[in-house]
Amino acid sequence: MATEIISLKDVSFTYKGSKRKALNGISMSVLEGECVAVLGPTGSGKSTLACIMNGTVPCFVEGELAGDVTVDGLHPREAGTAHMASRVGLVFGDPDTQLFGMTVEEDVAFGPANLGLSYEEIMRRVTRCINDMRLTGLEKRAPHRLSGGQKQATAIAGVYAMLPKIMVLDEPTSMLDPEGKAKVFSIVRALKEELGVTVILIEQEVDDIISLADRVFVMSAGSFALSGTPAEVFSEPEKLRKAGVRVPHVVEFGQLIGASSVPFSTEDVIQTIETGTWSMAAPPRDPVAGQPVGAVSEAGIEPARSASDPDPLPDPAVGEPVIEVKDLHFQYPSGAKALDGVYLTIRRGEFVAIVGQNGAGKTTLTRHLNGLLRPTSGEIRVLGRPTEGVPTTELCAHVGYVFQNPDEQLFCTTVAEELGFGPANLGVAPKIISARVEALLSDIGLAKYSDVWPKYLSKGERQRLALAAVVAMDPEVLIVDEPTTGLDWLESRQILDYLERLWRQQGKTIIIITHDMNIVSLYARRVVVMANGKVVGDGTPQQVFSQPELMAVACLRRPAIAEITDALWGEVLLTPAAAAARLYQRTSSHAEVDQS
Amino acid sequence: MIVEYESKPTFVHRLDPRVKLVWMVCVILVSVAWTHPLYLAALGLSVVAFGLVAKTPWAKLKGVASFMLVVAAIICLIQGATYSVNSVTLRDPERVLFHLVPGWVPGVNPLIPVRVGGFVYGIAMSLKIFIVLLAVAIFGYATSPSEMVQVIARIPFIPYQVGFVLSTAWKFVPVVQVQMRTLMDAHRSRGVDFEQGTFPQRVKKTSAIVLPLFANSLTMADTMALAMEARAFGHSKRFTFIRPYTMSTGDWAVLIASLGVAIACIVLMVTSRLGAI
Amino acid sequence: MPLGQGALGLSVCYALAIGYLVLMWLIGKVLTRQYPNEHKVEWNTRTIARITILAAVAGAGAMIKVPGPAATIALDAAAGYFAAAYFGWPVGATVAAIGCFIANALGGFASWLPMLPIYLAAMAFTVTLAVFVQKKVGIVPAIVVGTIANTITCLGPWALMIGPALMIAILPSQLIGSAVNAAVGLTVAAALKAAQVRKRPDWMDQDQ
Repeated sequence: MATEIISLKDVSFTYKGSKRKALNGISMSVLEGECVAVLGPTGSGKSTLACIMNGTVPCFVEGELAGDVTVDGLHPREAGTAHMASRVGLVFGDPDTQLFGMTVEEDVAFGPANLGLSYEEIMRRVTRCINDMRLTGLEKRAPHRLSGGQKQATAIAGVYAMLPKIMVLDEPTSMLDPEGKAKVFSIVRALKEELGVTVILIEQEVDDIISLADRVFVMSAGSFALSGTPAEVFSEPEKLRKAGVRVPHVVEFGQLIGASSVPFSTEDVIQTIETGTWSMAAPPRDPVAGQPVGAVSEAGIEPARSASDPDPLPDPAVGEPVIEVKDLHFQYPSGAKALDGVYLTIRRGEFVAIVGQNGAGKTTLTRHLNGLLRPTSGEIRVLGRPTEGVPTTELCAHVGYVFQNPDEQLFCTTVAEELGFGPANLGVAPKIISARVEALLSDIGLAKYSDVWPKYLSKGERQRLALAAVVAMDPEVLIVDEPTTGLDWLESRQILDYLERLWRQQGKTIIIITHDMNIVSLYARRVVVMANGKVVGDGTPQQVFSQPELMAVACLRRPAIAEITDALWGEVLLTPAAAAARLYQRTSSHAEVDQS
Repeated sequence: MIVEYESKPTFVHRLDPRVKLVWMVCVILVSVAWTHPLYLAALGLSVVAFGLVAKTPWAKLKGVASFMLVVAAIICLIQGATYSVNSVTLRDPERVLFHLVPGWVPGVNPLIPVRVGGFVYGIAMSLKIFIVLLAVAIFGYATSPSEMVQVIARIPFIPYQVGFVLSTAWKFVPVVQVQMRTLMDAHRSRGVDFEQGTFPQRVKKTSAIVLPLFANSLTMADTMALAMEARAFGHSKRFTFIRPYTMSTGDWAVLIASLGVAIACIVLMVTSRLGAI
Repeated sequence: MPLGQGALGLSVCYALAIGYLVLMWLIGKVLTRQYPNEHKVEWNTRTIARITILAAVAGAGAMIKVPGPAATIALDAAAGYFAAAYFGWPVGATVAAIGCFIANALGGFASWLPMLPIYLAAMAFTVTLAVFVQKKVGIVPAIVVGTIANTITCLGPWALMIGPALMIAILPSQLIGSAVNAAVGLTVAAALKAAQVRKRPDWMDQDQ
């Protein structure tokens, strides 16, 4: 019988200067060797929970802590952070701010050296951790020359080198691309299975957690909304949704078709269907909006996949080309070749997702479209006019560009100023500007924040503000670079729903860069796949997802439901609801055939 | 750094970083002590020889060197025009070499004489600057940043936090630079033209980047502090990741030669003005 | 009569630098005593992290170039002024010195390396003096005093060593550069402080 290693009893915490409780009466018990996942939207108290485990809250970040915290037999608050560090390892989301060495080796040595260990002991640990975290061969590499996944692996190795019994990972994959995410999850698996470490994993990636965690806690507004084994937690999708957590495709599909047990993987689902352990009495209803899912159209997309839209409209008509890229080559001054002969035409009214691995050239390509980068050779036309010699300050009136990190594009000290900044630079009349700002504030749901410093908004709100600040310039084309990085599912949906409204109601052409195939399958009407500076695939989401070899080239993973429907019927469907409807259709038509 | 560190299998690269540091300090001390251009030129040649052994990529020095040449020329002219030294070796330091406003321009009398003493002194000064530049460049090129951290960590009386701040800040410069570039690009994408406007307007536009840059760096510092706490920063008074270095014969030779020559030169300069102009 | 760029000149300049540091320490003491809330600094992990990041900003700032009338101006010293006004003089002086070191190292120790310690002391002194004046009089006099102090402390040693002629030639660009850095650093600190206090309504609770 494993012993209890973490015990929280009725723990509450209020940050200094705040009135709201960040944690509100939390109780939790973790056994040695367990892997516990904590889910929940941003601001629900997950990070606070993580920091309480090693005592940084309240020793370092001040506030009022109530209740009893015991970790590995110690009370972190009394033991102090430095003392806890060799028992509880804490890894954060942003790899850049947690790497301190000039090389991988030195970074891993940083923690043990702070503990005052001898050089020989440090080197023994460094060698072992580098080996355990699959970083062999990179010992002398400078951290800034690593990929995102390798950086995060180094950060984990650096914490693990202090040989803690417990590792707390706070959204370790939030900044990574799919390849990096896969690397980090394989390390977490190794920590749990090979090294016997107790793991507390705070994550947004529900699909990966479901097969990794022994137990799952779902946080909402400072307390646990749900807890139990994955089977227990995921059998209550309504509560998950209410807490702002995305329900994995497999689970949602299982629920829609009335599977006898909650499926956790695509294999589970396929087995369920093949063994017939499901029962669906009526065509499925969309679980979010409660609307019956309409007949599946020929392309397999249900109209308006955005489920929050109660009265789906047909897709807007696609018009003349707004962006034409011909034989575009680009080489950075360092000599690195980023684009290698790109051809791409985007028409007015399209909703395009550009996907591909980090370094495939997505951002380099889109930065050419508003003139931030200039081609080494090749031609770009915007609205039919060549961009050569046209400065960004002019192009930005037609092609709006929203950067990945909202903090790098919010400059003003109030939300309203921020929205008025772009149009004022374009020379729009003050009256029109104030009308636009007014309208945008209510569009993005920030009306009451108009005089607040953007820094004080949540990450999701800042991302919406950054987007609206570009929309304020009223460009025909909107380019949005990874709009959902570091956001929770609810915040991501809010951003994408807003983009869809702009697309549908104002006829904007939307180009998003993303790694999130769930977002692609829900919103994009066209997918452009890039790899090694070239466009390697182009088509509807169905067409692209029907080519597993193309997805492999781009290091992308298809959404689970596409995987399932492809395996079952050789056809790609994009949402669990559509798949369930197709299943119903197939079985009922079988039944009809049987009757006649 | 002037020339970025490259790992190469040369004698200089293999030297103990402490020895390289001593060599650099000795070169700088001697270059400060001496004032005679010929002596300085000899010192400069020895530095170049050291650089040759290290296979220094001289081409990368071209930019700095050509800039320094211009500075050197200006220094020589200004020194020549304004300054004469009480020389022990020059026969006639007051002699006029040429005039800054030459006499052959019709209707103008020759003006602002450039004198030998000052001019030669200007050359010596330029040489000093060149020597230090070269020595630092070679040291930086042949010593990896980690070795430098190791050296700082060994200096007594300096808390290891100083080494930490220096090396980590150094490592963060590119991160901040990327952020800065994005901020500027984001400004451009919202219609700001940095190249236009009067000087005060341009300063104002630039400070608009600085505000979010500082605001973000404060957030970054707070997350970094959390990560440092999680790695027990400051727990031990000493930083114990100190690689054991063993001095080879080559190390001893360079160390003794550097120290010996430097002490001899400085003593001779003080006692018998050997190396003075 | 200039002292020359040899041992004598440098020794006098180093003595001067020690003078800067002593002055800085005296001014700082007054600040700490009179405004303990703003200028008393606890040397914990957070402070060290802030110094590190702001020193990196100073290094990166050396590469922002504002094309000016006399020369292009780099924003390398702004971080020091900012840190002094925002986190107190001890942090400011440290950031100014380390930032100056990193900016110079990145520029390949463009001005003569033996002079560097003198610059570091000069920068630390200047930002402390500037925040002192800002506290006592106001932000505009602080910018003026900072500019003058920076120019004198940085160019003064050179003038001692090689005479004033070269110094007069680079005086305009030095003055403008100092003024821009002081103005940007101090005003941004003031703007951030104001934003922090005013732009956060009571009904918004701290989010974490």
